[in-house]
Amino acid sequence: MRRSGERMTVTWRGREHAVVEVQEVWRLAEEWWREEPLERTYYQLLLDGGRLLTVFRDGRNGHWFAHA
Amino acid sequence: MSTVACLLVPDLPLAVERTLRPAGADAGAEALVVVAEGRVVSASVAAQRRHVRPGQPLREALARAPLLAVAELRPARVAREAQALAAAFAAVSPLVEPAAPGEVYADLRGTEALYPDRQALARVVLAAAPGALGPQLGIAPTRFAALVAARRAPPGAGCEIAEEEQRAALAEVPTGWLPLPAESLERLGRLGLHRCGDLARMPRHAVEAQFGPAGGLAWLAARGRDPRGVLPRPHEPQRVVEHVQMQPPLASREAVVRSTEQLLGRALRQPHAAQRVVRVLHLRTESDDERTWERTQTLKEPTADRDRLWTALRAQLERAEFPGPIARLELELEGLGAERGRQAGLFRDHRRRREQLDEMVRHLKVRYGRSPVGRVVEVEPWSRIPERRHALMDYDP
Repeated sequence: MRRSGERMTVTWRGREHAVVEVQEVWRLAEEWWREEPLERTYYQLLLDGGRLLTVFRDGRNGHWFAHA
Repeated sequence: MSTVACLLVPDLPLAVERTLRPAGADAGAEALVVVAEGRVVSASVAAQRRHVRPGQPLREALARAPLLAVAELRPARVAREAQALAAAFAAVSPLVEPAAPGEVYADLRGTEALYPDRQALARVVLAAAPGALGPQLGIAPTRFAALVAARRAPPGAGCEIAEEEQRAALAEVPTGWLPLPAESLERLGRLGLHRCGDLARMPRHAVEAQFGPAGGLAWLAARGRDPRGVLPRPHEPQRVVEHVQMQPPLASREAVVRSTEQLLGRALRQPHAAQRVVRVLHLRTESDDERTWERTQTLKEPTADRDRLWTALRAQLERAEFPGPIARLELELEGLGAERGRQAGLFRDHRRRREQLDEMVRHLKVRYGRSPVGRVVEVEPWSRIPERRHALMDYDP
């Protein structure tokens, strides 16, 4: 996900989509007792085609993932 | 009034073997036995004179008659000749019952207009039957009398027992020919009832008391009132048969699989099979020494889809234990019907859909050794982490 000026876009399955709205943001920090605890920030995005996409950023390495 | 005909080759395995032995030898006088799996299946008269009997272990038969000629049973050849006998009757009547290998019955009702002369009918049947086997034709008003007439006919000829002479003709017939189990026939002998006339003179209730309903039936047969009709085999014109001869015989399973696939393609291209669904698949193989392997698969759902048919056949081939290198391969598509759409229920029938799915997955499992299909299962639906809510597991019905 990247921000260019005021426009936010997300590249998903090889295509760039404009993000119309970030509908929800939430954090998950779980399993702190494990060697690699979960630390994620989720975003529910409304894309330009009207599609909803849930993505998260892994707090340990900064990588982005999408839940299709 | 019904008229029954019987076409008989007594001891078909032995008769088949005799046709294959070199000419010149005195075939009738030879002490010959046909064996299968180490036991005597058929014994010639000369062998029986030396106390060799069907069912004996070969070792015992050889001990009784050291100069016995021994031949291995040729099941494929015997089955083909039995079919040829049934086909000979099919030339004159649609109601044909192959009762046992070498014993075929036909109901001749309604053939009088075509064959007013029984001699002409006999000539047609005997000309269509394999002559080398010496088939005997019997015509009579009842089934048992037809068998008796066939037994009395010389090889390659016919014999007729008329209605009015039936009772007298049967009176002198040995009771051993009656339709009874071997144990009952032996008891009849011990009771001193050696001829059908002896049995026919007994009161029916006394015979039934000793031998049950089968005894009552034998009593009726002995009096010329056999109630058993001809049970014709189902008329099955809707079949397609393809075969291939292999020279040299195929020894590898892969080669058999490839040949069967070609055979299926050829069978489906036949005009009778075009646009038709198939219900039953018969696959037969013959090894070089005429041993047979045969499997029949009835499909749950008739299909015209070549891939589905091939999946079913391939599964059979992969499990098969052939008796030897394969010299002949035959595929028969049976139960051909009109192609139609699959009727769906008004309400969705999930159970049926699941059965169809399971069947397909089982075919895939046979093909690939494991189920290549996965199934999404809900494991932790409450989890905040989305990928923990479901898991992919092997679908193994």
